[in-house]
Amino acid sequence: MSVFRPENPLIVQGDHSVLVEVDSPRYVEARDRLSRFAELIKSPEHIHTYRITPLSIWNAAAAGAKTDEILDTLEQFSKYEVPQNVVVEIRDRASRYGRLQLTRDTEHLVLTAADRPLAEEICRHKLVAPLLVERLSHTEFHVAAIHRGSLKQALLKAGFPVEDLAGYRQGEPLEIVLREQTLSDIPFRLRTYQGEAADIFYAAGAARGGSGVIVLPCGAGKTIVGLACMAKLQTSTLILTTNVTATRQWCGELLDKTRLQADQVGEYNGSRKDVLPVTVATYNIMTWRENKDAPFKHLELFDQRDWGLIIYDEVHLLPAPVFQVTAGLQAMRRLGLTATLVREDNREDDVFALIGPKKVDVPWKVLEKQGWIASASCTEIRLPLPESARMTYAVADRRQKFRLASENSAKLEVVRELLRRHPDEPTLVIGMYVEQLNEIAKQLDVPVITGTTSQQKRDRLFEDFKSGRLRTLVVSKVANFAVDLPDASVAIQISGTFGSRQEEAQRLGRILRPKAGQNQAHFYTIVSRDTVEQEFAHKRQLFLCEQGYAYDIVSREEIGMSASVRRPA
Amino acid sequence: MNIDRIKNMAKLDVEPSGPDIRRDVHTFVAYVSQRRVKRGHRDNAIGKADSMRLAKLLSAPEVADDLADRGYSPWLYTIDEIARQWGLVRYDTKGVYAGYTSQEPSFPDNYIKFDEAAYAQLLALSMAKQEQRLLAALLSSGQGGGSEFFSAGLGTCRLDRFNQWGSGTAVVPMLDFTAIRVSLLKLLANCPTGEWLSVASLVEYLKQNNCYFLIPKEPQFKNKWDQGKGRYVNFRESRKDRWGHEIQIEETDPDAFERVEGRYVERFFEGLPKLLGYVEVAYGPPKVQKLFPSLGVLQAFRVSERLQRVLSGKIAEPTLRVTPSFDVYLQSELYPARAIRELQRICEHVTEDATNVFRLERQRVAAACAEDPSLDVVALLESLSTEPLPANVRRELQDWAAHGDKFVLYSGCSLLETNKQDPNIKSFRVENISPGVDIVRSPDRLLVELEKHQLAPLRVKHGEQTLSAVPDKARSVFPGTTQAKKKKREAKTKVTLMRVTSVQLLCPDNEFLDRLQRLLTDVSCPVEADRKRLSLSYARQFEPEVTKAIRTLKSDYEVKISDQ
Repeated sequence: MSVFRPENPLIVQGDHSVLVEVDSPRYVEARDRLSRFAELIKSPEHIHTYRITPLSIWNAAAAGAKTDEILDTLEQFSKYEVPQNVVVEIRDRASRYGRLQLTRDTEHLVLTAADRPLAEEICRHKLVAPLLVERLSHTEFHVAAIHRGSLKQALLKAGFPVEDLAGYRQGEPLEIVLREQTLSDIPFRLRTYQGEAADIFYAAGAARGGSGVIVLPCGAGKTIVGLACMAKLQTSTLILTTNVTATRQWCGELLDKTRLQADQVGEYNGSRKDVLPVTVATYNIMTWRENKDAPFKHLELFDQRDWGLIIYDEVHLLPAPVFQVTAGLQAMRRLGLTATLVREDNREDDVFALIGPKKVDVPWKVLEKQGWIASASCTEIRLPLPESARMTYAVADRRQKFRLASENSAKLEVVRELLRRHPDEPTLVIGMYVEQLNEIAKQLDVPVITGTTSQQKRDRLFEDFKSGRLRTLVVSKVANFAVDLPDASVAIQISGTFGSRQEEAQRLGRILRPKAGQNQAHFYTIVSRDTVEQEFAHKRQLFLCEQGYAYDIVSREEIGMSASVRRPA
Repeated sequence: MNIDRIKNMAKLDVEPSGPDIRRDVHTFVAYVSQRRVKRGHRDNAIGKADSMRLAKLLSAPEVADDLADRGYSPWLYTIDEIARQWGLVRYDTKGVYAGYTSQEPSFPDNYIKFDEAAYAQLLALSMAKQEQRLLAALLSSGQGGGSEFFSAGLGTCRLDRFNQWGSGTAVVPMLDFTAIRVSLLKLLANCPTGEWLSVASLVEYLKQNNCYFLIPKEPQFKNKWDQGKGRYVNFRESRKDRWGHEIQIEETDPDAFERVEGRYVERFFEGLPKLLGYVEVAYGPPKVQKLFPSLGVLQAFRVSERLQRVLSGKIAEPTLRVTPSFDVYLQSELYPARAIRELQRICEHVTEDATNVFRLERQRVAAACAEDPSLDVVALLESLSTEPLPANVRRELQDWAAHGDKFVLYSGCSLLETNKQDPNIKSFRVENISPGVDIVRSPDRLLVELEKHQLAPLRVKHGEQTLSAVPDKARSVFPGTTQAKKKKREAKTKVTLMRVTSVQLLCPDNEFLDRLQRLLTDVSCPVEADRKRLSLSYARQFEPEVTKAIRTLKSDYEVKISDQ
């Protein structure tokens, strides 16, 4: 390790991780080039960590990056010599992409290998062999159209990702035009990065475009990118979302920002089953079945129209049965939208094979700098358990302990204090325990939304909150996903486990949309000191810091609460 | 200095960077500091078991192979020797005559002793000074027969060597190899860095400008009879195809310099400069060498800037950064032993590489603080770090460190639990835990006292290892301590469930379904047909009958069964 260029920002480690020094003058240039072929793992202050994986290299190769460009970037920006094993691995992985191509002749799909040894290898592979119908030549195989997705999955597992150039069905034509003035009479035009993302996805209609994933941070307007892609393709579209609220919001955005009419946009969920040229459905309804042995009857929706585009909102949550169906939908254009490619079930390779490679990934820091998303400060406020609760806590089992700590009655006063500090800012109070939420809502005299709140009431409360008639809203976990609350700028988390990484990101995402004035959002977490709750909070703290958010820990005293206030009611 | 660049490296084989001697010295010292390592009674070498354990810890992969093949590892020997030279470890090197027939000394009970103070002194030195100490130790080791002429350096060495019994007898024992190596290193430090240069060109440069850098113009000879026979007396090479036929290198030979000094330069590159990462080397394409020792095999070298920094004492100190996500990144050009040692007390060592990555851990911090009450973790990290600690990390560290103080051991005390508001135990109370629960001293006296006040205490004596349960009917705030009444189990009705696994075949059409059903019915195989779904269901035990029936149908159909 004799090469040493201290001015450079990259440190390539032997385990394929790449450390990036943020303070380096060459950081921005290095990041922009590195992010093409490496996945961002964490981005705390000073040093960001990326990882070069086979998928990240294939994503880059799919986007047109050459091996030499990748190695040149590492060489050019690296502080130390790039480890030889990393160079070899990159060359090897990158050389595998594109050696197999899937094309269409007049009737069939044809899989073509770059050379005969490769053809021999894949036709002997136990996952691939059953999917090849007939050998057309030394290097060509006939593939049944129905196996297009399964073959891509199998080849990816075999370590030879196939370049799918077989093209798409055009789908039913549909005129989709973006408005310049929204229905609510607000000027509307795509932000630069949104337009660019749509262009990259569309790829001027070429077979190389038309399927893939766009990664944008929460609050960056993924829905708008979806609309832009629809406007490019001018075809009937099926949109899959995570829940009914998200479905309504998609419908609302479609009507508000495109010239589509209400009779062209349908909802497909538990209560309504419209199948219109643009249909918005939930993953839940698609995977619903009468019992665990019954078929998923709503999956038929995929065949009920000649869809030209399928949009998978929050693609990292795509459930397994939808994956299976997607394997059979490879002739349709597919767009995945997400804030993170990380899946809790580690099925990132299925997203790559079945939805498509990553097309666009805009770091949130870039958008924050440009003012498209708000900057957020995270503060953890620690307070002790009331003296009277300490013994009960000490002798309780772990589950009870967590609940006791979460429901610390002294938290109410801290919430009051925080609301006093942000008198004019729309605030969400988020919690896990319904009793606690009801109690806090009662004490603060504000409405509460839980799982039992009717959709109608939820919609009304969200509307009041959006319009500013309601300044504070107490919500349970139901508000985690796809709830568009554009004006929330303060979130106070009073209880909750560290669920998943996505859940935490989504919670924070509720307050990241751009704000007038200082464009600053606040995320408070109130935690009982020296309890198991603090352990969960530590995990949350790690996650948020890894995402690059500023995180501060203060005691109740430090936010200026006097002793008398501290006493629980 | 005019040394030829090599433009096309495609044909040359660049030697990858080798093991890290700096790291291994510290690993060795850490190992012997934690164990009682006894050296061999007769050979004074490190025992096999310890050697094998060390082989797993050291960065040189050849140690394990050497130990397995020849029971001895030059790498391990050198590491051991450096640690001894630096005074980090001590052991008997002279031995005693133990009365065996051999005149060789013996080393009874020769344990390696670790010198903590000397090690702390070494770690307190700057990185540049530590490197200079290492360099000095390596420069002076390997004189005469142990020099590059005859002995392969540490790490991977590809070149063969002169036979010691020939060339090693004349001028070589009288040469000062330390000075020779220093002069060559200084020369290399003046070469352009980061470019592949020709070894032949460097030899040519030496020939023209400093031809006596190795063997002086008027050298001294070990033996008088070699005097007057020329500077290269006893330097003999041989042709591999004519084994036994040796060629004496004469001073008058036009290429004598290349054949002696040139060979030395090649072998010098393979030694210390490569080992310490001052140069990289590249070998020519493999071909059968006609001459022994080989000549012109190591063809290119590339000098790193590190050499200049080492010689000028400008090696930078390690930089340490703590991120808000509790990761600690330690960057250093050379092995940062001190920082690693400190961090390992309070962190998990996640990655050991160009940048060492650590993660601060609550349990380690609390344990380290409990073990060493004077340890101030925040101050320690601040002293090592180049940036201020993130506020959240500082805050957490203070909390974690305080966890070490949370537990106080009370001996000779008891726990008193009461539902009385004021049991009048003030003089016995050591600590009030919560209303009704106190730690009390002199429990025997307290019991008497309580009885006097007509309070009838219940005394539970706990064992040494486990807590005893509170008797029935007694109440306590502590859960699980009261013996629950064991209910007598009622006799349960025995039921045996028969499990039948059924298989469902989805047929392509009615005709196929009919034919298959008929065939199965003919062989009395119970089968259930669902015409709507075109399915046939049967119990798994009838699989052979179904397989047979399908085989019959294969005369008319190409049947393939795939699982859903």
